Amino acid sequence: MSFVEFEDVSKVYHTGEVEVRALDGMSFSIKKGELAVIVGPSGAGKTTVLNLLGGMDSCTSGTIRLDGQLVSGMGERELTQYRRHDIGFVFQFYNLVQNLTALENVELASQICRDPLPAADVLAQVGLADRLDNFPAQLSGGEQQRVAIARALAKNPKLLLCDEPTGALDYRTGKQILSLLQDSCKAGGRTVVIVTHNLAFTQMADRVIHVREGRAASIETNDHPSDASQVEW
Amino acid sequence: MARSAYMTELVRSVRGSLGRFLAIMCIVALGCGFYAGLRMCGPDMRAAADRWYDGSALWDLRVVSTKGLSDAQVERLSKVKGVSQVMASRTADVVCKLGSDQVAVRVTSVDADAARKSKATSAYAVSSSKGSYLNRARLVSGRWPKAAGECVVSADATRKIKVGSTVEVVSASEDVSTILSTTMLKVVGTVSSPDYPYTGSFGSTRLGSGTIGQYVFVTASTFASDYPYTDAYLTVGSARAAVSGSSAYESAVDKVKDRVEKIEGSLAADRLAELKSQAQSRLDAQVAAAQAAAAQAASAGASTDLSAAQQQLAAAQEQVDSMAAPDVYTLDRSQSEGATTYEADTERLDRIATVFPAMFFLVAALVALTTMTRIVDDDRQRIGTHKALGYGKGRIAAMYLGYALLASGLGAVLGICVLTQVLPRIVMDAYSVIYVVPTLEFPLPVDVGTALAAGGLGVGVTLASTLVAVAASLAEVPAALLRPRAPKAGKRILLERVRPLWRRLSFSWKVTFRNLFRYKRRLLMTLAGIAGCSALLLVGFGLHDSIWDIIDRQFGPIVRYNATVTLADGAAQADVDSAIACLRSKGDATGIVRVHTDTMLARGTGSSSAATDKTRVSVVVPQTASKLASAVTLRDRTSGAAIAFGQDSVVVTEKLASLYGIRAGDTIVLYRQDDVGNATGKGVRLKVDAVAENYVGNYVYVGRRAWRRAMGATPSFSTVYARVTGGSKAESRTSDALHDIAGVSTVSFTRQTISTYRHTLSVVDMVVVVLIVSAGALAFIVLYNLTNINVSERVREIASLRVLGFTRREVHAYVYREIAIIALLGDALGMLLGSWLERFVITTAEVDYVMFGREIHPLSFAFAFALAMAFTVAILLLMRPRLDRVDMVESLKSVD
Ligand SMILES: Nc1ncnc2c1ncn2[C@@H]1O[C@H](COP(=O)(O)OP(=O)(O)OP(=O)(O)O)[C@@H](O)[C@H]1O
Ligand SMILES: [Mg+2]
Repeated sequence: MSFVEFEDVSKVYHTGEVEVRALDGMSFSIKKGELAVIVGPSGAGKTTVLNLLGGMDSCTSGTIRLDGQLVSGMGERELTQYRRHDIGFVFQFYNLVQNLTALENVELASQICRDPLPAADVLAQVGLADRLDNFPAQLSGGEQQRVAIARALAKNPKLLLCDEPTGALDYRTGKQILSLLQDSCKAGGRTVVIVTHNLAFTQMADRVIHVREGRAASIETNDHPSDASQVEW
Repeated sequence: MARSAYMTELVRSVRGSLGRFLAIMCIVALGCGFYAGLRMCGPDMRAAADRWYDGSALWDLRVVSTKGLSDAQVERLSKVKGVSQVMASRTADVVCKLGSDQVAVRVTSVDADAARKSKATSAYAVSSSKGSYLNRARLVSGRWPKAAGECVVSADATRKIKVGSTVEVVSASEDVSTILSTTMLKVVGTVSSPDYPYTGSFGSTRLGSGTIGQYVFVTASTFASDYPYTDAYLTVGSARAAVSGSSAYESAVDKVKDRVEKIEGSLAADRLAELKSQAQSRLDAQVAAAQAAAAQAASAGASTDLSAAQQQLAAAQEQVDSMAAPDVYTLDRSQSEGATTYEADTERLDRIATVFPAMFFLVAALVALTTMTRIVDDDRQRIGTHKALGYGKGRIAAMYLGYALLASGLGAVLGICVLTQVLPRIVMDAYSVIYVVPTLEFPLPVDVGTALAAGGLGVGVTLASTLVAVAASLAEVPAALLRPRAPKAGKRILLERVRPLWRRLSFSWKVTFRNLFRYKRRLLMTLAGIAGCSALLLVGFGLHDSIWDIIDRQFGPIVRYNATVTLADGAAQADVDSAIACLRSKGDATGIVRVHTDTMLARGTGSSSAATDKTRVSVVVPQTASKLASAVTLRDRTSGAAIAFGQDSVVVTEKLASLYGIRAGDTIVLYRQDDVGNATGKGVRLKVDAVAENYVGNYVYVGRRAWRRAMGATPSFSTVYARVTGGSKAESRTSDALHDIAGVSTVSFTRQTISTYRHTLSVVDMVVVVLIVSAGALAFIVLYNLTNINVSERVREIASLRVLGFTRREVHAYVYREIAIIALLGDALGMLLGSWLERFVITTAEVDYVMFGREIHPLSFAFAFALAMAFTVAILLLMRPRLDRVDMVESLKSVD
């Protein structure tokens, strides 16, 4: 059995009279320790996949599994515990708590989970050893995104989910972030899922899931992913 | 075109943020409504009284003569320029037996014919074809008296008398038969008179307990045939249009009063001449009779006692010759107890109305500012777009000002319309417990000036807040506006410098502390909101304490006697002894003390008006100084230390002392008063030895020797204080027994006084409750609004926490901990603010003869504190679903 499994998942949004089928029979799987990239045009349903997988929302039908756990059947309380212990999230906009220092932002996450990684160590890992006491406003965008990644990693999650992690960053900084993510997968053995509309990112992935109109149009595996620093766009 | 686009946008933005629009509208409605409503309470009550006074042709001036008036003087008064109508009448105070009690009753003659023909056209007006029929009472039940010995009694007296019963007159200041033609008065009806608006007391008298407990109207024939007019009532036409008690009214009346006062002397001389000639003709008749008798006797041969008779007649002649002129006084309504008590109460309302609305406006401004700031902040992008499109600053600002104007304008109109009707009505209804002034009907009048001031303030405050909120955003360049606002940067706080302490704090406490100081404005506003709320609650509880304390502290701890027996002047020692024996045997009385009591006027030294305004005081001179302590506790309020009282001591009570700033060692000046309560003579100066705790009434306790030295007279000690045990049964048993003893003039018990006070004070309490409940409601809205904004500003942060896997409970704790801390701080601050405010309100609301308690009970602090916290908790609970509903996906989607 795969680590992550999506089986015929549908998600319907009701906005007033209108029904929007964001996902329509989405199926794919990801193996443990893989770096998967989900690509597709805008509106294809990428973010929706990530939200369902991350336990931020529940699907309308189908089954979602992580490490054998049935996510799709969880109630609100279980989902909270699931997010707390199993998932790390990285957003396009970093969503740091402005009133906490870099270190405290990481501690905010690590204080609530079972076996967290030491906050300062994780920050050192992402190259911010000497910025521990800075507030978000005192950090550049790339640095803030690194804090966000550190915050996600410090929880020692089973799965790291990233939605357009480089969307708000320039080319060079974006690349640094990608390297960091690839590193945490390769060196840390963590399963990482990155959502993007940038096809260039597929080069660095172990697995690429192409999404179109709420379905997985094609899934490719990449036996020799290139190094993130080599990715050009 | 541009205009319609503006309107479209305005309508759309109102619809788009209906909740906030309503919030501004409601808060402005409450602020303006309270301001205008409370401000109208006093004027409405005065208007109600004026309508009644005018509708019943109540006197504006009253001329009193100590030796009566005759038609000739009344005629002269009617000729005074400015006097519209004159009505002469007879009035006498008598003591009547009502059940087992003796009550002072004011008996007044009424023009029975005119009264019978008069017609009550409404609760406040009585019409009569006879213009000179004044002070028209409204018949409530039964009929007007027709024959001598019939009477109508007050329908408003606390002690009701049934139609059909008979009232017995037992005594008066002189022989009853010289006043009335009969001592048995048959009650044929009940009336309500505009001359007695205050049911707590119908006036003061020299008889009995000093207070008129009942008034009755009788036909002229019920008075003794040679009993002259005692009063002439005058109306002043030019004062009718003005509201009674207003300065316009007073100046109109004063003009005429001056003219009347100018002829007081000649009226007195007139009256004297009349009395002299009457006496002379009576004497002449006697002389003639005596001479005739003498002539007869002489013819019979007996001439022995002629010289004695002659001597007698000569003495009588001398008496006639040396007859003194009467004192004539002219009084206006300010010397009428009921009218002035009522007016003083309305003025107290005016003063309270200046404190509370200020708080309301402050709070409204606070809410308007936060809400408008929030709206403008939310609209940054739109402002940016407009600016980028080339709209001027004025046009954009006009948009928000229009919004604010619409919201606050609607709110102001709504609030003023509703609350100027509701609030004065509630207050008038509350006061109708002690005043019989017919209340105004809806719609109540609204003073245009007050309404405009209230509305202007409310709208102005909101517009100013909007300007402040918009100005900051408008100052930014469009590009900056189009970018999302940079999140407020985190900062280190001072507390972090205290390393050892900071290190010891848990992580979440650190966050809380830092958040507390992050948004300083929000902190201050929430603090102010909660402090205001708890302060108002404390004022409520505190006022309740202060008001009710006076009864508990006065009667029992301070006034230890519960029975007062007064003896007629010149009562024999034997009568006093038997009265005391009766108190002992029937009432198991202890603490029996004989005192002399006198009502005098007091003032301080110095020439300021505060020192020369005189206050009525009760002077008490104990026969045995050392015994006073068993009737009255003299002690210092703050230290509780007993005050030594001896033959030479002078002790004044606290309220009186504070009125004149008197402390131990200072001097107080006491004046005797004449029949109508004016000070006479130069006054006596007494050096004050101590100031004693006291809550009801103003007393001066004077040692026997000090009194004799000051007044040059030996006091009569005709009053006995005693503590009767055995409850109301023992009291009525004792009372009955005492009334059978010759020389006993009145018997009264503090039980009655206490219940009267309770009655009166419950009104004040009611008004307080109204104020506090509304203020509490207002504070509640404010808290809700602030917490709401607080939460909506932090939606992103909350969503982030949820994504990280914080449970609902943890999110509540994270967000609410700081609100709880602010609430605790604010609540504590409110206790300080509240005790200060309570002191202010108390001193404002206090009347001259009462000192409210000065302490707020610990339990009240506890209640106010707990209730304010309960408010906060309730609001936080109410807000919980909002926190839970924060949508992670939506909130984190984009930046704005
Ligand atoms: N909360 C929602 N309510 C209604 N419709 C939604 C909601 N969230 C997403 N959708 C719709 O679902 C579809 C998929 O949205 P999704 O955000 O997953 O797309 P995406 O692939 O992430 O696009 P993008 O690359 O633009 O971020 C879209 O048509 C979107 O409009
Ligand atoms: Mg997306």
